[in-house]
Amino acid sequence: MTSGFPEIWDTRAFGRALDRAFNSLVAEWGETLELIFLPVLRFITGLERGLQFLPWWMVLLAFCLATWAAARRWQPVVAVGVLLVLLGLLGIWNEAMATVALMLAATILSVLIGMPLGIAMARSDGLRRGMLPVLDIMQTLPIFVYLIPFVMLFGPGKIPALLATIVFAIPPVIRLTDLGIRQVDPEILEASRAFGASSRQQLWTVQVPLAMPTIMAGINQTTMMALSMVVIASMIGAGGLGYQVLQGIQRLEVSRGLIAGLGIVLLAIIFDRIAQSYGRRVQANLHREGN
Amino acid sequence: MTGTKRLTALAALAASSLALAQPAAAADCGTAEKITIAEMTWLSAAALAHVTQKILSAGYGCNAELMPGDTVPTATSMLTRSTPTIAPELWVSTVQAQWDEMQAKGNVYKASDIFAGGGQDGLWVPDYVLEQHPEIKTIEDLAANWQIFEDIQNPGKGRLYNGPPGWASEVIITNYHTALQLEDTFELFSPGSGENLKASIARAVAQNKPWVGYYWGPSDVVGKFKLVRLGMPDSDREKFTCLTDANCADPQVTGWAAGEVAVAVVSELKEQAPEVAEFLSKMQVPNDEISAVLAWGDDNGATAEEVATHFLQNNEAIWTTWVPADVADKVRASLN
Repeated sequence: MTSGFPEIWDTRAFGRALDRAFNSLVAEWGETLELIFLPVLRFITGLERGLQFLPWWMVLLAFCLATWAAARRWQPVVAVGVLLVLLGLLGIWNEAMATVALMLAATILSVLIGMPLGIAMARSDGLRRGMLPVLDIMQTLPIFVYLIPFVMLFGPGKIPALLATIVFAIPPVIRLTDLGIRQVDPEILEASRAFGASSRQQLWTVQVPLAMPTIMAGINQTTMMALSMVVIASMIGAGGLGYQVLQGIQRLEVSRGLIAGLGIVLLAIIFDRIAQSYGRRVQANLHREGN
Repeated sequence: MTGTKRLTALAALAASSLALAQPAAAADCGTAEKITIAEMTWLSAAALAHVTQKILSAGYGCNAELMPGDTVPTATSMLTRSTPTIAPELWVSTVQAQWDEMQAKGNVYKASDIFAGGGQDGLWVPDYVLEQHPEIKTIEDLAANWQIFEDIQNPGKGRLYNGPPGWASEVIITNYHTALQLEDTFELFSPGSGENLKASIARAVAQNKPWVGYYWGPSDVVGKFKLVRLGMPDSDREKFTCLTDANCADPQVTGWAAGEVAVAVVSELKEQAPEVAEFLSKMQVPNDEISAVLAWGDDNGATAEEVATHFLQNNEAIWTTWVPADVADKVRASLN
């Protein structure tokens, strides 16, 4: 108690003031914030109910079609189909669909927010300088620090889980969009400018397509990080596979935790296959067109 | 080599504490071996662990150390390895199977009931809910008054907060949900973790909004947010046993049996340190007082150790009855 850094200012009073400010924020704005995010919640629950309501073979078909659209090769399609059947055989179909809904919503929102941010960062050095430390903080701040405040602000359930997942998973898509666009060969840009392309045309017809493999790698990482958040998200009432893992841990039922954990791994492989084969195809196309 | 060194160090320490204890002549730890005390993750159990540790080391001169724990892991380790030596707040019903095994094996015994009123589980609401809606008195009034607890995330249904996943209470609340016929009116919402359950209460109270769900007392939350337990009929043993079973065929409404919360102690301690065992057998706190102490701790952001010191300083009437006067004097002296 005597050693350590001298107490120069009253940290405890500061902490209390911070807590009071936060509590009044919750009291005044909590309900408004919850209402603002209600459409997002409807989207997730709609997606979840849709996935659980559809017969399993239709979901399987949809996944296989999406894989085909992304890969245009039959091997990944078969792999995704087999893995989904395995998921069903493990007896965790409904939980897996709840997890897929949350993860898809988090990924879609991350891409919708992250790609424009990444593009803006690539075009402005000032914004990049400001954003990089923010992204570093988002990736290193322990999740529990903001998880419970999110619950206080948005009410327990899927919304805080979704927001926490986005905070955790969005940095790769922002970073890699920025990186991908900055890596586009300046000579190609100069050539396109010589042909009279406007800055906007340059962005959409030259920079983004050329950066696509890198951006896809970012989206893939974001998906994986969103998936790795499901256990933590279920600690604030998000349900799904993570909830099964939690129950398994708490009841010391090794089997339950293991099966649900295996389910998460299967989902990770499925989404990784889809995203990677798409990225590979885009890259292959670029090279073909380049030659 | 290091083992012998540690033993000699322990012996020296024991000798010195003996020497210190000599003038008083009465209080003596009785054992030179390390006494470990389980410090559980929640505030009341952690604070009680600190209280025990302070009394043992300052009052009896024991070599008492805290050891992090949680209900299930601690009970399992007490059963299999007889460590930690003392668990001051062990919720017996949560680890009934391990507890029964310990009793059969005889290596752990219950020294005392730590809470005078027992552990209180049930459905709780903030006190203002009862003031604003006097029609709600017991758990059986919930079905008719679900609108009060309607949740905007799921319109048309009230929200009933369940216990955290894997807790025994989760099974019991789920059965209550069926027994009270709340399927059509209440969504049984799993908070996912004890932290989230607490946060949901904090949010509701900050907004002065209704909240109903599982909680337990004595706890800092009950004291801080002024939660009131909804009335229940008297507990019927047979009906309640069915409620604790995840496969209960026909759950019936009954009272929640008072939780057995024990000061669990490894039996060897009784022979090694009879005076310490004597103290542990008297260790008991009244529910309301301990909730108030815990609420003080939560309000002031105090650590478990600070809460323990606060308790020892301000609730002398309670703990001085546990120990002989000379031990109390030494504990008191150590606080300053």
